[in-house]
Amino acid sequence: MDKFELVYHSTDYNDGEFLRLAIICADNNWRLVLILPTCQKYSQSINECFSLLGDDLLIYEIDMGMGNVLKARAEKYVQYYTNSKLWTELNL
Amino acid sequence: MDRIKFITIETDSHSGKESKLLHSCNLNLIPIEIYGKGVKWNGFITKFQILKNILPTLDCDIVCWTDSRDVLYMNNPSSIIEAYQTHYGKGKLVFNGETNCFPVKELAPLHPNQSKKYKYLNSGCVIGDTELLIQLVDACLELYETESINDDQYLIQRMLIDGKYGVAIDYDCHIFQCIWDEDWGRSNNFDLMYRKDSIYNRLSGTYPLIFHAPGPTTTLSQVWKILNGTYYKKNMNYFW
Repeated sequence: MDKFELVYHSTDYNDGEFLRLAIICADNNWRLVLILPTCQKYSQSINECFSLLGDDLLIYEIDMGMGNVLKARAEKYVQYYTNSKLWTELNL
Repeated sequence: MDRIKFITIETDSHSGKESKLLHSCNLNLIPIEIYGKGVKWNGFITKFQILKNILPTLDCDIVCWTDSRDVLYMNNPSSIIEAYQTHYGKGKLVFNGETNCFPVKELAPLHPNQSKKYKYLNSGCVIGDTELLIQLVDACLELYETESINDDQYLIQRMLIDGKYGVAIDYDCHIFQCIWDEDWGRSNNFDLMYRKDSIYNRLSGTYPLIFHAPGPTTTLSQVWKILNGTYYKKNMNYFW
């Protein structure tokens, strides 16, 4: 059975929510899916999430990644994968 | 063992637009050859005009021909040959499959295997018999004489639809992965699981070997990081 995936999008590479959600995912054996604008190198916050989750952190970089574009892609992601939910759908 | 040549066409001589492709080839020990430097670009048909001259001079059984500006190799020649021979083999010209029928939408329902996600032919990457590719190029140049569309992808799609020259599509991304995802991720592809040192297509259950990012917004940013071993490092300080 596919692992549950929690989907979050942000234009901020140092978003404080990354680590909080990564801890929740690690505790529940979930995958964290981050939808972000393209970047050359991942921030300290994202690397800390990798330290916690390893390959259970899935990132999708989106070119021209303005907030509304990222939101639209995150909504598409949860349509595509029924084992995933937006972070707003859960009371975290 | 069949002899293979890796080739690309790049007419621009000044801006090094193929530098990332060459870097990926160097890392994967792929002796790619670049053709067309300095040739005047007259639209996509120029690709065929260059190929018509160089293909007969290549001393090889198999050709792997890719775009130069939006392609990265993620594996070595032996893996690519093995994947080609295992899944396709002689008598085929295997093209990159994609999710968007471009440039002529009307050809979409004419493509075979409509149940597949990557069902439309993308001409940016191909591997197959050298002799068949020579024949295909000649046929496309001939078809171009009667068509007004200066687009290599359109001309080859017509060959696929007519079932000619062994033209086939790598539907399950055994070799080629097009990152553009028309209805879902668009500039990135939700089928892909980007990992520290590999990229897995969870729809097809394959690890594609060559990545292609067509279109102005499709990104190879994550492929580039993984290729260079910089995707992520576990930060041990975090635990101290």
